[in-house]
Amino acid sequence: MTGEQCSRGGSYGDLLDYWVGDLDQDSAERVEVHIFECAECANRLADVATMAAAVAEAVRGARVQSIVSDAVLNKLSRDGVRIRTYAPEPGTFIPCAIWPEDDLVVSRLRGDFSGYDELTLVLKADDGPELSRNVDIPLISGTREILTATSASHLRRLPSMRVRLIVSGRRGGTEHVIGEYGLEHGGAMSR
Amino acid sequence: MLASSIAAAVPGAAHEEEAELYRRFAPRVRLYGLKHLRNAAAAQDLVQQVFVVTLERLRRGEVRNVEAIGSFILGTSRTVATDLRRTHERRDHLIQIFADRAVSMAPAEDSLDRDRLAGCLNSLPPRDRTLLVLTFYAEKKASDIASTFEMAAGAVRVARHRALTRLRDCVMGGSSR
Repeated sequence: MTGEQCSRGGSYGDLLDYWVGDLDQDSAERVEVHIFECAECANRLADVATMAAAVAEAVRGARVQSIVSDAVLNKLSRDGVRIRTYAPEPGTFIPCAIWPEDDLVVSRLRGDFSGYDELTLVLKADDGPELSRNVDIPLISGTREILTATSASHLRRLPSMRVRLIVSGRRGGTEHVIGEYGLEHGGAMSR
Repeated sequence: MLASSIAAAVPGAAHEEEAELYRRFAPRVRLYGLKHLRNAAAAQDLVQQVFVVTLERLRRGEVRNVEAIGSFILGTSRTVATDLRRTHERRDHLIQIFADRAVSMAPAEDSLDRDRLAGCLNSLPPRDRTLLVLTFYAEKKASDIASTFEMAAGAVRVARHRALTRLRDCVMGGSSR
């Protein structure tokens, strides 16, 4: 655990583990007893609950840019989030656009990303500056793709442009480009 | 002590003490309800029923150890939640059968500034963001996330706690609430 404690010795880490169901029954019941005795931890747990609900709401509202898994995408679909997916092959450009009904845009970047210490994902204009850089992105084990989810409302604000998604990683102390993926962003479409 | 004042007073006369007891413990009962019943309306039902029982028992002098009133309220919450879970499961089942689309209003959640929250979430390191998305949206446990990312479950729990602390600090502007 993290070592953060209330004045009665209760662990803040345990409160989070309790809330997300990561404690066994005995430990969970001990935490519950403590919460009913300790106002400080009750307030802290209320914070955890509020943040948890707010994060879930932000994801459900397609307001979060993140590396995701298929499990997350499946749940988003079940929640009614409209997802448009692009799967550019390495070294190619494919056309893409944002349509009025889109909530979330997912890029499926395929490649062999295993064996690298730190993966970095850079989004840059084809002939221009970097638009974003994400260092140490997580890789889902057993898969050969990275799924990046971006809010459609964010992408609607971008002008038409060619962009590159560049995945690189560290191996043997040196940075290697693993794959470059091109998108011909056509801007926001209307029907 | 609040509970002993309520127990010692003429039944129903200790208004202020009863209100204070409610103010202190209702949020905890509600959290217990949200955790175990997973439904805001059911959690609010729990709060009401638990306090009806608690105050009636206190007024009648039926709470043996008034010094440990938190323990009594927790025990009552556990008992009432078991009954409510059955009631809400039956209700959900009936709603599915009859496609009842009636909307019930639950009390407003303690919500945060949505734009600020989203901005803070998007400013976290990518690994933290994904951890929080998997934990709070996909409702994955540490062991599931550990196998997804080839990490130890203990490392996931520590990383998750740090990620949430960073997010909280950002949302609260670096101060504690």
